[in-house]
Amino acid sequence: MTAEIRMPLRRRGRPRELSRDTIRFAPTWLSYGLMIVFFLLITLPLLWIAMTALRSPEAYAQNPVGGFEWRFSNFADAWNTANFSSYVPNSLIYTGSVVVLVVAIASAAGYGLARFRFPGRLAMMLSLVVALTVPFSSIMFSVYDVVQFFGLINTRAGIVVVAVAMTLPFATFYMRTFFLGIPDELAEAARIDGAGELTVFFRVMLPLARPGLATLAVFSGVWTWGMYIEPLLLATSDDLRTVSLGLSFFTTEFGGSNAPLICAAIVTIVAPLIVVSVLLQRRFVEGMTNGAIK
Amino acid sequence: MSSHSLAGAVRSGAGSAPRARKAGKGVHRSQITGLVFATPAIVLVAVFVIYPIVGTVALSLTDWDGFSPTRTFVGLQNFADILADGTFQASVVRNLIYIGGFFVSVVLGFAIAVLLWVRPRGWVVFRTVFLIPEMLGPAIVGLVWLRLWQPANGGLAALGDALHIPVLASSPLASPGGAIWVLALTQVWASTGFFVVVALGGLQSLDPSLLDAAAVDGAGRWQRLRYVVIPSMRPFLALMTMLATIAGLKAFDLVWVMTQGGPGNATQLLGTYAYTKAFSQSDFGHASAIACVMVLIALAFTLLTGRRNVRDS
Amino acid sequence: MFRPLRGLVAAGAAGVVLAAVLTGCSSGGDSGGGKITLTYWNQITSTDTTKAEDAIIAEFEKEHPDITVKQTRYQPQAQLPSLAKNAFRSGSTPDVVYAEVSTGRDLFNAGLALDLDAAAKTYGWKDRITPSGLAWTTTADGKLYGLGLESELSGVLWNTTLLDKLGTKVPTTVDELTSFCQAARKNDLVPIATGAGGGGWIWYFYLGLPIVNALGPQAEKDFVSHKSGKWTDPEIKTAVQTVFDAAKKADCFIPEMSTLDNGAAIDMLTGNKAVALAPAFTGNLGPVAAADPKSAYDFAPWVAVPGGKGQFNLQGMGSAFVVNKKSEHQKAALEFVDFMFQKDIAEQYIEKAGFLPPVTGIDVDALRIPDLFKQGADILINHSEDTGTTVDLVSSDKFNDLIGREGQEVFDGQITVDQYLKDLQAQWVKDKI
Repeated sequence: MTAEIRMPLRRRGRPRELSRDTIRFAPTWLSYGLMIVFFLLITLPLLWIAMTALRSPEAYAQNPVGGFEWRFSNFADAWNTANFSSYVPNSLIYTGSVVVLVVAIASAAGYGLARFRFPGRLAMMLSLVVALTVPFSSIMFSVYDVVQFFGLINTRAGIVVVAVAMTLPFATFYMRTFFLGIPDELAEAARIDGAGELTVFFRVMLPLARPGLATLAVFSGVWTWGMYIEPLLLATSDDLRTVSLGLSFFTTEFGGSNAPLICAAIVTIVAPLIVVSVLLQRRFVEGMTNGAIK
Repeated sequence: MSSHSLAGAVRSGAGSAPRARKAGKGVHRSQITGLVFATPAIVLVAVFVIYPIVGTVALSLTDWDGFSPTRTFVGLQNFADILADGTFQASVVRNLIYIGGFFVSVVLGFAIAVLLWVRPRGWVVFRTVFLIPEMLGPAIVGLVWLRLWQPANGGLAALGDALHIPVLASSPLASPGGAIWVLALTQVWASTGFFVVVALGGLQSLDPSLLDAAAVDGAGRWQRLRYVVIPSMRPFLALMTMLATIAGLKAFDLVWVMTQGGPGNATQLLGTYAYTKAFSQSDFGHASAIACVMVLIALAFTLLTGRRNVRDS
Repeated sequence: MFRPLRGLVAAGAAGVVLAAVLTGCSSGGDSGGGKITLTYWNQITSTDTTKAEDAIIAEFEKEHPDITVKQTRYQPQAQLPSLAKNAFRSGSTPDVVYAEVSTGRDLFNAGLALDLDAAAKTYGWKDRITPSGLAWTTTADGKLYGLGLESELSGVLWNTTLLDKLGTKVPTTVDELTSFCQAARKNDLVPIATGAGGGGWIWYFYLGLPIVNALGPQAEKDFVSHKSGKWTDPEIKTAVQTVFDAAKKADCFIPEMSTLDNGAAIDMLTGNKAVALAPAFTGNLGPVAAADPKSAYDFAPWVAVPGGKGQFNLQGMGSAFVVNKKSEHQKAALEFVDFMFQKDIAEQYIEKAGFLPPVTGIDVDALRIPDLFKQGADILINHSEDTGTTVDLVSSDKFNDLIGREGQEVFDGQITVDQYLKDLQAQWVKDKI
């Protein structure tokens, strides 16, 4: 019932190397030319932000594009204005908790939905599709009521549980496709050897799905780091907020035109993300090409 | 979660992601085991997502303002109202333009992936950099580009002044005709890298013997691309198109950060319009009705393309 | 190979434990020795004001050792109204919010905000707070639902040093405005800087400033309080048209109109790239004088409108304290609100935050504030009968959203002024019911 797309199967093991000429579709100079143009289009705006972050507002007002200074005090000011020192630990806690819970719950559910047929399975899949397509902002007051019902307003647990629930539909489908791609024979062999279902899952299937787990961890980690509406809605006090919320304080009713300060705040949030993406890019890319799209 | 970017779209897409085999095969173990595995996820989603969705559907039939103790049942009036509302209709059109921005990303991403396929020296650097916008997420991408497009004192306006490029100098983000195009362009920046990676994954799964055979038959670059690569990549292109459509339909964060649907209503999409109705105008009835329409469109689209792709393959 | 994963898992596990521990700590609330935790949400986000307010709250806690104030800041238009409404609807926190006057009234009308009449008697607010200050937060049938702290005056702020260079004076008629704008453009100056970063609030003033000139202060107050007149009346249209003509025909504003960041518009003024700022507020006067000490400034009303009653400023109220009806600490909440209107605290607000609390008996001349600020404060305190009322204070959040979005659409040529005023009138009638 849910939509299915049949993909050409990637063969096990490495695909035979293609002759490089067969897959070269443009002269090398042209390829490089285009790559470099695109590279600059991505990096120049970010460099401009980083440069602006180091300028004084007066110099910026005179000329937003030229000029260079080393005004590191912007970072200290931004750090304090956005209250980052109390928000960074929160963001770390949410990110860590959500990653662990999502990976654990979604891999179990993905496995269950991929490999077993049980009453209500179709209804579950359909609910997950609906859950995927609904924008959080349209349901957030109802979510608030549910969280309040459980007495979790203004608690870290409340924020984490909602973030997990909002991430699960994707995560479950993602892990499901991953388990679908693992040959069933391995599990069968283990069962014949007398392994119980839990052993099959933990000892056989989960290790095979490890690249998918890693990618899912990175995805959900990046999303949770950028989480904004959930803590804004579910916390009634300042000490549960996230760095992304801190960023929002640079737009104020009167004033807040200090572009270098805003840029410094952006850099403070963006720099760790870029470092993470460079460090983990292989995970990210592998999982994306191996898992969801296989 | 709120900020769901392109990779966020994979979440949507994964719902209809390909399966390697038929579900029926090899499914003969205790049925209860599967239920046990799936239960924690399903319970959480049911309680914190599905139940609130049902609540939203219920709200769409009332005139609730978001805080009063009273709400009146109005039947399908809200749906009739929004269908007749000019701003809603215009939002649908703008949302299509915005989805168009995603499609440009798909095409660009595919083209770049084809060029990266030979793994030229340094290709990992390119791939990593192209993915950065996706890692930042739409809200931060919006903040970055707002600094650049900021009217009068933004980076691009100043650049336009300095180099005498009237289009940049005139702050297109502030003009009702230009703003939606600026946003769509920013979205292209935000999402192209993601599609490069998806398309690369697809290309790597392509059967090499087909291309070799074509080469032996004397097919040139263009012919190989046109008659071998593109047809074999059709399922992937379909998947990318679907991801793009759902992400475009749900788009919110980037637009909200940059324009809040303004100037006036010039950049309202379905998501931002629903948000404006609910939170700026205390009109949860109409906002919920718009949200319901969005979910219906996305569902219909997912099911339809899913079907069609199954037929195709 | 899987080291990054292992690291993430470890970090996550640590996170879960920490979360569990910290959740336990933070959900305690009022514990030990009868100490009360007062939850306070506000929408003050600019750095200077924040500092001043933090100091004042610390002073309050010192005087009330049994009360701890836990404050949380929200962005004014984007966050606070909807979140405060949602929180009041569903529970007892926050105890106090400092929100838009219109948000406070919506809450009161929905039965969620505390009626402050009894408190007004207990604390003697009627004697200590100016009548016009109290009027903002009083319903048509005389119920007090909040207390506003930032009375403000709006008008146009002129750089008279630049005007002298251009050889003109502050324009007082439409014709003078037109020729001033031409002169400024010839000298590569922006005539009037304006901007709200796309926020709709700026349109209350684009419309309100000419309307008060057309009707005169008293008739304008009657108009915005639903006592007389319609948005579709010809004199309203003539007044509103002067703004759109200044924008479209005389090229007085920047082409981006309201979409430029408000702070950037102020920067254009203090950087001497623009000659005037509209709308400008008493809250702007101190910072502008400090940022551009070399120029002389004058704070004036909008130009006279054809067939109008003269030139007047508009008076408004930034935000107001509203108490949650379900609050478990109403007494403490009222103590807190009352504290903010003590005379010495009010003076701190004026000197350090640029606010003008409507507290009686303040000697503005004795305060350490820039002369430009004193000029505005003087009109506000001593001549408040000569000023009109800002429209957003007496309308719903819905009306306030409409006035901004459609105003921008008129400016952009997508709808006509007539259509705009007709839509405003339709929502206006709905608001009254």
